[in-house]
Amino acid sequence: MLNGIFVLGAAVRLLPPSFVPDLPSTVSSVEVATPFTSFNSLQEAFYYLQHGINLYDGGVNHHSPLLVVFLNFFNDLPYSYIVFNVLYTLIDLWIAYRLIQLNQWYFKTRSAKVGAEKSEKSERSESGESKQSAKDLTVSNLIKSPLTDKLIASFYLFNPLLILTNWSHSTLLFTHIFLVESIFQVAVEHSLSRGMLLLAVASYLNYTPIFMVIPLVSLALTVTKGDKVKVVEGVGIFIVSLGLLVLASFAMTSSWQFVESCWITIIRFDQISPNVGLWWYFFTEMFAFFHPFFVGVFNLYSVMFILPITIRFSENDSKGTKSNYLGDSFLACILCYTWLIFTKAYPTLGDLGLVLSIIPIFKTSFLSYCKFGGFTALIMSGCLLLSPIFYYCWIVLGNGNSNFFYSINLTWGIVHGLILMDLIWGKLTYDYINENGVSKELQKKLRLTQI
Amino acid sequence: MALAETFSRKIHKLGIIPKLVKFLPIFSLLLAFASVGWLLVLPIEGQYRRTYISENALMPAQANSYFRESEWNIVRGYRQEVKDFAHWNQSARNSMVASWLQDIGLKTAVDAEFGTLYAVMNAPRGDHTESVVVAVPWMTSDMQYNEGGVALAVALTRYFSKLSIWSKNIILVFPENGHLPLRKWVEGYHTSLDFLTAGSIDAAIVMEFGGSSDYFEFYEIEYEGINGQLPNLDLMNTANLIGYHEGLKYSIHGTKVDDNSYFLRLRTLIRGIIKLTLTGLINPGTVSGCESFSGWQIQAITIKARGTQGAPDITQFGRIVDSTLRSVNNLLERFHQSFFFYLMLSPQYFVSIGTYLPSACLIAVSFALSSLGCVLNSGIELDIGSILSWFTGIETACYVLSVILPYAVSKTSKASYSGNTFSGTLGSSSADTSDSTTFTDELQASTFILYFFTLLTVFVSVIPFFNKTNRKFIKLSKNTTFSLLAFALFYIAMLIFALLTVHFTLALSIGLLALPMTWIQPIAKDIGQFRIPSVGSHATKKEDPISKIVMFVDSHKSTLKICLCLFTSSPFFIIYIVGNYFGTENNDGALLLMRGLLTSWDQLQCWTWFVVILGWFPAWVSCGIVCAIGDLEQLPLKDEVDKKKKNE
Repeated sequence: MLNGIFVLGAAVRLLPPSFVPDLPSTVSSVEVATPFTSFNSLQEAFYYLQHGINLYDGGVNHHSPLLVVFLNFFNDLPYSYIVFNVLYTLIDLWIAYRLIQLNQWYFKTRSAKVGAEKSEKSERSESGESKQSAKDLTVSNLIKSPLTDKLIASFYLFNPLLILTNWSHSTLLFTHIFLVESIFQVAVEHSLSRGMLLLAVASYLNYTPIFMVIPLVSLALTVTKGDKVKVVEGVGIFIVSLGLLVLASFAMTSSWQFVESCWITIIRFDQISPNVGLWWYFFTEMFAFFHPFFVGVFNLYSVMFILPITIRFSENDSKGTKSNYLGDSFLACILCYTWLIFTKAYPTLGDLGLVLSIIPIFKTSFLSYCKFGGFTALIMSGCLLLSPIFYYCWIVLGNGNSNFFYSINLTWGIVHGLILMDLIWGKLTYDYINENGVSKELQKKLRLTQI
Repeated sequence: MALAETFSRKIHKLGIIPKLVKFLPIFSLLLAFASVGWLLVLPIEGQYRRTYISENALMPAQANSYFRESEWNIVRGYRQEVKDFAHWNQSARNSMVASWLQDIGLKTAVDAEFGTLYAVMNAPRGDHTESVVVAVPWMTSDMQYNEGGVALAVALTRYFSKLSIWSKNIILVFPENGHLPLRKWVEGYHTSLDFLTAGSIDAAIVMEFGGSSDYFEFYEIEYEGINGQLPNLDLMNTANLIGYHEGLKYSIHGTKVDDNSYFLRLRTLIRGIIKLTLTGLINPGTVSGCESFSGWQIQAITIKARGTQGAPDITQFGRIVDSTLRSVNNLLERFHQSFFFYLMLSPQYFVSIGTYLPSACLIAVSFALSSLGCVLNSGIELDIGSILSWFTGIETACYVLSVILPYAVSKTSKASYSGNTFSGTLGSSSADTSDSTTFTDELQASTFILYFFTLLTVFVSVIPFFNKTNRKFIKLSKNTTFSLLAFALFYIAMLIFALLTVHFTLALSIGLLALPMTWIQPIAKDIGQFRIPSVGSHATKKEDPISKIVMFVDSHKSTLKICLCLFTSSPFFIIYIVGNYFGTENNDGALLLMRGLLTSWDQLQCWTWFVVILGWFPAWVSCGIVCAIGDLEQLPLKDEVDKKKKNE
């Protein structure tokens, strides 16, 4: 059955673009591809490379030099478009496989934690704390059975947003695989060095994951129960490998122009083009005079919340005041990533698609305490329905304008907000219930309020 | 947040939500009424706005038009010539007009596909990147020979060529009629006609002045495009303001400028909604021509001269066109001010999108609420798996239909034809008869399809009578039944939601016409409760057929209601009714509408057919399946059970 799902998932990704070679450029709408992930500009880069033109002349290409060179090998092969289809399909299958393993790992660590906590508590209750028995009852309800491998695979492989991203041959997929793989290496394989190396590659490709260093190091600390030296080690490895990648790129292109084109352009938001994000309209409407200030504000905003989220949901509590099962460093990683794609300069549908496919992993712990699932899904489907229609009204028919499209982008932003809010609220409710040992009957009547 | 929190706690404490859920069907119905009510409120004074010119650069009626009575002789001269070759074939007529235009100094060319003549007057002051179109169909939408229009167009061109003020190229187009030939010319201009172009087209005016009268009573403006598109309101206002300064009367949908009462405004509103919904679909003989420009960012209106006896003369008609072109000529940017989404109430009054949009929103919410009611009030659990499998199956079948039916129609008619000339080409030649047979073939195929699906509608609507509760063979489970019904209603809600801005009137029409679907679940509530009719006991003894029928009806009341709901919300039934209502004297309106639906994508890129067959029809089929083989008996809700227990 699991094999069947993988085969079907592969077929969905492999067959349509193989039979319709135009599919990648057809589905590369503004919602799916940005100048930084578009396959079209990558092909332009191949042409430049083959004809000895500087890769970043003309401002079309914003892909990292090593990626262009690496993918150019595939481009040189016969039937290259099929080769690309196969490559992209394999990447997605790989990610799906990693998600299954992460799901199993998450269930295992969570239940191990609860087991440990349980024994600790029972010891304490022997020493005379009367209320503990009631708590134990709830603790045994703490962990629900995880989703099966089949479902986790299906959530990833049949996620329409991710299928679209795959069909468009967006290079975002490379960022995704390195990111998921680095989380996997850190969490499951307990290898901080490999994780940091992979994260460096992901950051090298797409800039945004650079900030994932913070939650990932925190996750590594939790998993390995290591000391603070690990932090230095992890960050060190990250910086060194990123530096090596940059140096290799410099050696390859013999100029620093790629830094400007691949990273500085994102930070300074030089390429104003419509996408599903919140930046473009803002900077279209604004007087150029204000640009530098607001670029600073926007960039700061996207970084600002990484550290607080990591700290709040960290499981490493040196003082030992918090119960052991509170906090969730893996959740912190996902929340940080959701925040990053929410405040990203050039987001696509695929960004949120990955997050949506990871969320089911939390079914083991707190997901049943999240309340807005249906509501969020409704708003999201409304967005996905209206976004191409409004873009069509604006660009093709000319009877709408950019406000139409941007209103949907704002709503898309609200979807991010709702997801973040829902996950955090669900986790906090879950923690409250566990901390206070609320029985099942009381849980139904429980109405928490944020003060 | 504190207030919201208190509020939500209060609601939770009082248990209002479960109580409200019971009334969902009523809320849904109320919202539907509110939607119609909203439309009825729009024409009330104070709800609408007076038209105004939003783009300052237009400056309508500011420049003095020199196309005065002095040009009348020239118009008359050309008209006499045009009248003389009324019975020539198209190419002869076109070459004659082309020679006149060449004499004036224009470049001419012929679009090979339909033999449409067009000419370009290059602007003395422009950079040749923008242009304005004057389209003059040889045949007006009233099936008249467009004598006055053609003569006026040539005379105007002669006059234009003497002015040095033009900064936009002027393109003259002479299609056989305003339907397919003009549409194909517009398409060709943007794709294949490379040998003579004049830049991007900003605006287009279709001129119709049928007959050989020197005078007319008033002029009428038509503006509706296909796929719910409308020209920028500024263009229409410009033409109307110019007409006002000329002292002319003008009308929209039969409402003249001076007519101003609530019911006239309401009539204009409703006519406008119907017209916009059906543009591109109805009787191809009466199209106005401006809809041919839809989809290419061209603002287009049709100006028609009405009546032959009246004070205004033909040069005044020419002055409207002249002044409007000069206004458009003033533009520095494309039309972007003013409104693209509006409904007209009279030539002078309109409502904009913000004011009328809630109407269709309300009906979308009405569908969403009744979908919610289907789930909550029938006491089921949502069965997403069966929804997906059933609905995907239905949708796939409908997709196949949506492709195959138009293909079948185009296959049965001849492959090579030079356009639908239902309105008849001038000058009878052998080529024309093949056109009309094409049309007849299309019509025959559509007839077959329409009758087949209407019969199917009747058949499906009647099946619920045979849907016995105790039957075990082919029966949907209760969960599947109501999940599918709920999803069908939700699907319609999403459809309306999607069409809301891009094609408001279609969204509204589908919402209102499919409304009976929302009543199925509340009606089905009564099915389970078997009642012995009180009159029935007497009637059975007599056994006369009438009382038998009465008894049958009485005992099957809710089934009968469900059948009626199904029947009246079927798209094909609606096509039949609507088509016949707006039909011609030959009573073939339904067939023409069906033909329009089936051919309009290929010929005009009008996608209404796909909305109907991929949006409305699958939802209806789902409802039909639910009523035919579903288990419509509903579990009593929890509080009802409690009540009964209390009573006992």
